[in-house]
Amino acid sequence: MKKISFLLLLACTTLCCTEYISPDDFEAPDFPVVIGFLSPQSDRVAIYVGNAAPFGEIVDPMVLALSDALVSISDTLGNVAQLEFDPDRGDFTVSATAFPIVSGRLYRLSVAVSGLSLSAVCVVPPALPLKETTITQSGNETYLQAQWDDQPNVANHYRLRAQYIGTTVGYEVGWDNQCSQSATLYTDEGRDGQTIRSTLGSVSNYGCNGKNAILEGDSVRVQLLHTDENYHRYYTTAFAAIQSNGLGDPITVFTNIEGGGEGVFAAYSLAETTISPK
Amino acid sequence: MRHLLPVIIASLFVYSTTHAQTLTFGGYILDAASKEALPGATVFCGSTGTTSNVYGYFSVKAVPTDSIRIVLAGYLSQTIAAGDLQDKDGVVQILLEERSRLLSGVDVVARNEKQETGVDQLSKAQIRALPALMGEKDALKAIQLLPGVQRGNEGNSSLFVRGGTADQNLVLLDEAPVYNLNHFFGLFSVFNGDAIKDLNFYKGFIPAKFGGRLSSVLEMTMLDGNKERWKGEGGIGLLSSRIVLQGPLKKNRSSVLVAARRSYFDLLFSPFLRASNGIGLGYYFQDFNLKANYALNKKNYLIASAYFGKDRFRFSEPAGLEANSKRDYNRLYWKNATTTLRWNHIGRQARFSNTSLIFNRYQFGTDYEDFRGEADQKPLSVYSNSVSGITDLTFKHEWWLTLAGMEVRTGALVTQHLFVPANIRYRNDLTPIENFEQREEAKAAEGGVFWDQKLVFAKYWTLQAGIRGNWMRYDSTQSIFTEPRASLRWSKNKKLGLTLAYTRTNQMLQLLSNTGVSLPTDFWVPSTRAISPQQADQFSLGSNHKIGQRELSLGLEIYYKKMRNIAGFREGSAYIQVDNPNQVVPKIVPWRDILLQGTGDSYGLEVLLEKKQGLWTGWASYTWSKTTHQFDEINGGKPYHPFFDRRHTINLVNFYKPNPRMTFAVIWVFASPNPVALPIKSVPVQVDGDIEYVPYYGQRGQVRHRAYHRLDVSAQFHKKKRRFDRTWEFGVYNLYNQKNPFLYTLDEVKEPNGQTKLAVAAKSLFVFIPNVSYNFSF
Repeated sequence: MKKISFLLLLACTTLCCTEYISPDDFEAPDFPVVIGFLSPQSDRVAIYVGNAAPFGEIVDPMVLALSDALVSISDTLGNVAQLEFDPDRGDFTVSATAFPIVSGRLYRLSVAVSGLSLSAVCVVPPALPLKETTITQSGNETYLQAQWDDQPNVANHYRLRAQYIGTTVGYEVGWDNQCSQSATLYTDEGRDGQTIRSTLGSVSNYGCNGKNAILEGDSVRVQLLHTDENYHRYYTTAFAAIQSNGLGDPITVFTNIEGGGEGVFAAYSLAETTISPK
Repeated sequence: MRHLLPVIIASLFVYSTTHAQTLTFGGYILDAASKEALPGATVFCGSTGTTSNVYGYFSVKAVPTDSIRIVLAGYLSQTIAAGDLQDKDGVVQILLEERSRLLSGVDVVARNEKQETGVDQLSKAQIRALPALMGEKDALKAIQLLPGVQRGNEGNSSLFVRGGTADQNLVLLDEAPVYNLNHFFGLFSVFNGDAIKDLNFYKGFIPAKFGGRLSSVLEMTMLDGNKERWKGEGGIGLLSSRIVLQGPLKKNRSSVLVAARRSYFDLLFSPFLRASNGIGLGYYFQDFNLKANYALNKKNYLIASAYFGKDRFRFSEPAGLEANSKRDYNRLYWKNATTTLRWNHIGRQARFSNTSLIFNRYQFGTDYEDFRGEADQKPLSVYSNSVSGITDLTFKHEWWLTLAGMEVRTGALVTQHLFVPANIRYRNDLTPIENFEQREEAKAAEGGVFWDQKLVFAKYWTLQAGIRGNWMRYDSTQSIFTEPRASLRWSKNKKLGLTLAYTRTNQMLQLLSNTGVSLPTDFWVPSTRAISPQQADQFSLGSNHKIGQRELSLGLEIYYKKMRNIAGFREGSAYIQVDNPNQVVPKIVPWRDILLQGTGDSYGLEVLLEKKQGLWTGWASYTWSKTTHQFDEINGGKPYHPFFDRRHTINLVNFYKPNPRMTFAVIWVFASPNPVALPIKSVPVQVDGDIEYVPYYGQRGQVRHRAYHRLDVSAQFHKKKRRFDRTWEFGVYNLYNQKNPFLYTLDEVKEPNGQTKLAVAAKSLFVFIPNVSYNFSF
């Protein structure tokens, strides 16, 4: 199947004339994009505010960052923080000590930029521990799997991440025998309150094709992110957009920014463990 | 509609005393030269008329002294006394002489008089007269020239009828559904124009005998085969050739027809590619039409017909992506097969029945094989194969009756569907432990019982009303639907007619299709527990007005269609698995997770001006339409216009036949821009601290790029030789070289500074295509 797209498009384009369409052919007004994720485990709150880029241009997000925006964050207890622009990182920030993020609390983001008043809200979910994480070596292959108990009676969303920790360059962790990031997103739909078992992950070197046993002494850090729905919907669509091959329907990346902008304001809590093969 | 049923039932018991002395006459209308049955001929008895059915049969009630007049475009009209129709067997054969055989080129491409409500008809003569694309006469592209029918993208043979999607059209070839209409990605349709006798297209009022699709029915009939003498015709084009042979097995009793087509792109281009860079690239399509019929006696006919079509695309290269690859092979194919076995019987009082057993199958498949290994070793193979398809078996029985002065058509049918969304195999000689085979299939069934009747009353009024009961079983679920259909027509002096029609339809099949481009990778799936069958209600109001000496006719029609449970596909769903270009392991598409359910609205105005007689004939049509879809999970739940929504469509079709030796055709089509999914910005997305930019499309349906238009011309030069007739045809498709986009892609282009960037590329497939073909008949 690997050349299906090539075969189809080759057939169609063999006889084709190609004409490139200028972005100027369409009305495409600028609009701001706001991205921010809250987590009690982060040492700072960071919000990126920037303009959408002209399509097709290779741009540095720092260049498009709107440093003159007014960004503030507040919670339901009346705590408010004004975020300062960090020119080194290109985002607006406040330290976690000055404005701590607490599980279960609702936060509101307000951004005044380019004559627009943008806003969004999110609620920070509690951290849920990993119940069991296993890593096994079979021949030249290294597999890992995680499981955790779902919080009952509420809709829950999760994301699983893993990073190789060791001395060899190029190791990555893939889930479900594919490179698809969306394989790391879970919901408890149909398994409320039950133990959720992840798909089988594998450690591979240089991409998703080769599978390799990791060396003795190497380890893998597994992180369970208990996310809010905004986070889940955003990454479901964002991963699909990143991986889109252009043959499917266009993907609208989820946004919960109100007031004329795009982007996301979402939250998660994180639990992690580090494991090594025995 | 509650009030309609009592009217239909009561009308069955209305028995006028004028019928007391009447007799029922029934018979076949045949071409005088070939004894080919002629469907669609109008049989007038006084001011009322009936139409010969798709098998060429008609029945009419008349007193023996009545005059019966038979009219069919392209044939000399005939008037006979009803008494002369009496035959000792009660079955007569009326022979019509083809006009072009006797007169000098008049009326060759006139459209037939409409007697059935809401049906458009195209005869073989009309299809033949259309300009050819690469030597092929395409019935489907002719349908795209009618009002109310939108084209998808350039070159696409799919039909988008009155706001319906491409899978909402029931396309029948000798009663068998055909699921994929395209050869060569839509450049050619799968129907060989030389083998098609007749084409009926229903888009407004759909008679109760048809079911299972929401938007239209395209009913095509193959030629039966000449019962008098052996005949042949064919054509040699630049890229394909075709031939049809037909003749009697036993004169006036049985006949046979064989038609074949094949393209030769592969033979023309492959040698050059292989010689230059070792790449093996080839494509061909071929199809066969077969038909045989046998008259057991005057009242019983057996007919068998079949169609087999195949497209095959192959690509191979010396070394694949793997380092130790020697050569890899890719194959892609799709094929249609239909078979119909039919028994036509004429019973007492000219009751005509048709019993059919129908089989049809559509399959799409891909193969990939990569031979690997060191030069001195026997190569090992990595092989993957994926096949999807649909197979149907249908049994149908139907009657044509005359009851209480009304034409009645009733019957029942049942269809068993077998869907195979995926059947995949993977074999790796290097690591045999990974070998696997996986098949997913879904069974479904549907049945229908229908009653359709036509009643003429109060001098000017005709009511065609019917009801269809549909039963559908899918995904361990059953549904029963009632579909009322009605058309009320008022007509005075045959010059002015008004028609009000209502049609309800249901559909349990959907085509998983990628936006805009009709690819064979699209596959059919049934409704599921979560996705109910689609349903549509359509209301239409139309008028027909004959102008002047009946040379011109003007038709106007407005319609409103409400669609429920229409199928949509989750954003980003791509059914072609190319996430990872190195991934050779095939995957089953999770089609149940992709399907979404929404609603749709469509309304529009259609105008059709036709000139049916004279040296100049043709039609001009204009359509104003608006279609909106709404899905909770698409476009943020906001309504949007689907990609085939075009506000204005104009078709100008003109034929000129100054003498029997020449025919000229000019076609100009225009369609205002349709929505296209084009990125207008890039937006950042943050993945674990890193920012990437992805295309931003804005609201769905927000961007409309460019109007579609083109001009096609052709000239045909006919000559009668001593042993055969020949026609040279010269034509140009898209004469003024308009670049109508076929596909939009995101291409990487190199900037002058050496950097690459993504750009939207509009690919135009068919620009200025000259054509020469040599056609013959003997």
